[in-house]
Parts: sequence; C-alpha cells; structure tokens
Amino acid sequence: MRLKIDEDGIRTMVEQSIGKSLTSCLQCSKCGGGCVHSEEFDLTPRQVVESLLDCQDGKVLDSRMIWLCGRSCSACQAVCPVGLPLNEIMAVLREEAGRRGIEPKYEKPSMIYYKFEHCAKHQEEGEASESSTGRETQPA
Amino acid sequence: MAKKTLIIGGGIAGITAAQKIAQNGGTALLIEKEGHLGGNFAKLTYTFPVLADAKGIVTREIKTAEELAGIEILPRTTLESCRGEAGNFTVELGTPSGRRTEQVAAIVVAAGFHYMEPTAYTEYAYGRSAKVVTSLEFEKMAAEGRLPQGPARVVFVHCVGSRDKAKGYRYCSKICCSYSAKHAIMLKQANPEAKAYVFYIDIRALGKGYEEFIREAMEKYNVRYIRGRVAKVIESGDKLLVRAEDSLIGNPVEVEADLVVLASAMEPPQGSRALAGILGIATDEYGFFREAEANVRPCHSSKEGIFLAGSCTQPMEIAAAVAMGGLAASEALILSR
Ligand SMILES: Cc1cc2nc3c(=O)[nH]c(=O)nc-3n(C[C@H](O)[C@H](O)[C@H](O)COP(=O)(O)OP(=O)(O)OC[C@H]3O[C@@H](n4cnc5c(N)ncnc54)[C@H](O)[C@@H]3O)c2cc1C
Ligand code: SF4
Ligand code: SF4
Ligand code: SF4
Repeated sequence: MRLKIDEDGIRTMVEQSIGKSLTSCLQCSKCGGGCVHSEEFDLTPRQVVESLLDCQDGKVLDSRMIWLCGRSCSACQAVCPVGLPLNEIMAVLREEAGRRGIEPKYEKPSMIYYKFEHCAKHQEEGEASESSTGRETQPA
Repeated sequence: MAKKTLIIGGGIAGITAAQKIAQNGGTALLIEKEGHLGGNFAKLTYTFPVLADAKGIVTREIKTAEELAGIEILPRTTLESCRGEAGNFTVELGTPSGRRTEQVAAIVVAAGFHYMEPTAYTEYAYGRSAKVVTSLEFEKMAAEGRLPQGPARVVFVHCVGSRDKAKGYRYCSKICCSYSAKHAIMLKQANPEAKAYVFYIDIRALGKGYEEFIREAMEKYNVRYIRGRVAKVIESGDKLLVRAEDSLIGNPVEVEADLVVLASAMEPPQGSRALAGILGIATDEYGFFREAEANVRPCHSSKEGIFLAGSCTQPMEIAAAVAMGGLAASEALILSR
C-alpha cells in the first residue's frame, strides 16, 4: 500500500504535550531494540515516530503498539540518544484514540515495569519471565 | 636564519607540519607531552582504506622528522605560557630539565584527539564485561595477536557516544564507520572462521575508496551489516547477547556474541580548553579548537599567527590530518621569513 504523506495531524498535539519536536528522532531504532514488548508490537516505537511525522494518524491510533507500551516505563527514554519520552507519546496517543472512540487493543497497558519497578533485579527477572518466547535470533 | 615555529603535539599532524617547515628552510620546535612521537596513529595496526602497515608508516615518518636538521623535538614537554603576537611570540615551556623560554614567529596547535571512555554506556556492559571493548582496545588486541579464535562471533557497534546528545556528543565522529569495517576485515583475515556483525545507523564513508572498502567488507568478507543502533548488551554465561531492532525489517533481533566492539567517539584532546586559554584562542561548543573560517581558512585559529592542524579541530582520518599539517606549515613559514 502506498501511503499518502500529509502535514496535518496529531503530531502537533503530541509535540505540544511532550514539549519536544519529533523531528529530533534520529531513526536509530535503539528504543525498539531493548524493549521487552517489542516482540509483540505491530509497529516499533521508531515506526510510530516516523508515522506521526508524516501524519499517518489512523495507522498509529489503530495500532496495538500504543496499548502494549509499558505503564510508567522509561527504559527506552533512558537510552534514547535524544531523550524522547516514548512512553509519554504512547499515553497521549491512547488518550486520543479514546477520544475518537477507537477500542483499546488491550484492557490496559502492560504491567511489567509497574510490577517490577521497585527493584532493578526483579525488573530483570520480570523481563526474563515475560519475554521468553518468540524472539528471533540472528542466524550464524 | 628563519625564525622558529612552535608545534604543539607530536601526532601525524604535528610531525607533518614540522617536516614541511624544515624541508622548506624553516626551523621547528616540536613539543610532545608524552615520551614518544606518533600519537594515536602509533596505536593502530593497519589503516583503512588499504590495510596499510600502520606501525611501519608512522615509524618512517618519525624517523624522517628526527633526521631533519631544522627540527628540534622535545618529548615530555608542555606549553606553560604564551605572550606576544604573530611573528614574535614569547613562549615558556615546561621540559623534564626545567623551564625553557623561546622566541617563535608562529605556533601550530596539533594536539590531536582523545578517545572517549564509554563508561556512561552501562547498557552495553562496558566496564562490567571484559568481552566488551572499544575499537582502540581492538587495535591493541590485533597488534598483540589476541583476536578471538575459532568460530567466534564479534559484534561491532557504531556511533557509541557520537550522534547522542543525551550521553555523548551531537556530532558524528566521521571515521568510525570506516575503521569498524577495517576491524571486521582484520578479524576475518586473521580468523576466517569468525563471524562479524556490524550494527549501524547510517554508513558514512566519505573518502576516496572508503565506500568500496565497506562494500568489500560486506561482499568479499561476508560481514553482516544490520541497520539499527544496539540497545543492550546482556551478559549471559560466557556469551554476550546483543539486542537491537533490525530497522529495515522492523523487528527486534538478537545476536549471541563472544566479543563486542564499541566504536566510541573521538573527543577533543584532554585539557584543550586550558591550552586554548594559555594561547588565547577559541574553542567550539565541544572543546575542539575553532577555525577562523570553515571553508578556506580551516587551519587559522581565532588569533593571528596561531594555526591549527589535525584532529584537535574535529574528528578526522590520517590523510586529512597530514593535509592540514602541511597547510599549517606553509602558513607558519610566511611569518618566519
Ligand atoms: C580506533 C581507531 C582506529 C583508527 N583507524 C584509522 C585508520 O585506519 N586510518 C586512518 O586514516 N585513521 C584512523 N584513525 C584516526 C587516526 O588515529 C587519526 O586521524 C590521527 O591519529 C590524527 O592525528 P593527529 O596528529 O591529529 O592527532 P593524535 O594522533 O591524537 O596526536 C596528537 C599528539 O599530541 C599530543 N598532545 C596532546 N595535547 C598536547 C599538549 N597539550 N602538549 C603537547 N602535546 C600534546 C598527544 O600526546 C599526541 O601525541 C583511527 C582512530 C581510532 C580511534
Ligand atoms: S531511540 Fe530515540 S532517536 Fe532513536 S529511533 Fe528511538 S526515539 Fe528515535
Ligand atoms: S516505554 Fe517501555 S514499553 Fe514503551 S516502547 Fe519504550 S521500552 Fe518499550
Ligand atoms: S562515522 Fe559512522 S559510526 Fe562514526 S559516528 Fe558517524 S555514522 Fe556513527
């Protein structure tokens, strides 16, 4: 499918609420590489940013990704070379999806980080227990 | 007799500047804070883009400088003060045998670069795992014959500390794409059984033969290039798990590795702002020495009579440092006649 590039979309609203321009994204994909949920994502966080820039609002608001992104997780923001708050971006997008009557793809955002955030050690154990399936390994 | 030029830094840029001044009838005083000349070049094993013998070349250039009558070399020496103006500076040098005062017509700053210690990158297990090293450490491993043996997997990580305004520098270090390809080729040549992976954001190989060199790594040496900045390196038994997103596919990937090599940033030389203070010249937002004009006066500092050469102005490869050393020498000679 060929996408139609647009200039008017929820991008402006997202940028206002995070107080940063999405144009700072380097498209380096570090965010998606370490996320414990990335295996279940339909769009990676980097693709969400890229899609927002070209105002592919429908694609983003209909994605599963925005619902899977962990509650109060800042794992990718902590390593993002420009410090983009991806978690906040997804929260804004969920709100907007709600306003437009788009059904949540999940009841609530993932609890992994919520459950384990009290302690880094348990967080790692949580990651291990909740992400043991489906990972693609690069062939030798 | 022609008046002297003081050259600060005995890397390839400073060595070249000294040689050209002496070969063109001038006299050069070359000071180096370490005990030997060669700078970072002397830490390399091979050089891109032709896998030339680094030690051989740098030894030859040092020897040429040592044999030229117009060059005096002062190791373990630093600049302590500087007064005066173009054509007539008075400088005080701290040498192992005490303080020494000199009159010089011009000054060439060739203080080189410092290689960033990526200690802030805890996500890459640097400093935690002995199997995570920097590219400069990889050069040393290659020189000492300590590259992984047998069917080992080595992952090269681009842009560590560069293109990262959160934890490093906003700029691109310009040559790490090329030397990472060199390292992958060196690995494959030393150990054809090894597998090499390179994780990149963009491949920047701007120089004669550089693009071809990187294509050769991919096509001839079968080095696998995956587009995505590495997110995490996890220690797992005696292996490392490297996690990233293959952004061309849009999927998370994982590589099990025996060695991870971080292409860290080339940063300004240590003490560059203090040196700039002594000389009264400007530095940029990072601490590299600032040129008067980027296009046609790349080796003029912000002060008349003080010139810049090499990687103390921005990350650069050997050929560019040599070119700048030569240009700085010809500018200095104008003032010393
Ligand atoms: C891992 C790695 C691999 C590389 N591989 C290649 C390659 O294959 N091909 C290539 O072309 N380039 C390569 N390079 C780049 C190459 O190392 C540089 O281009 C080159 O070293 C620049 O020379 P320079 O003289 O500007 O600086 P330097 O080599 O840094 O020399 C500067 C000198 O100045 C001295 N100095 C600093 N401050 C003072 C002071 N205040 N007073 C007195 N002396 C001082 C230092 O001790 C040093 O000796 C590589 C770099 C790295 C990090
Ligand atoms: S880590 Fe940051 S800069 Fe890189 S793709 Fe993700 S949001 Fe963009
Ligand atoms: S905020 Fe957490 S869950 Fe959401 S994309 Fe980033 S790492 Fe993944
Ligand atoms: S030269 Fe390549 S590896 Fe180095 S900072 Fe630039 S893009 Fe990254």
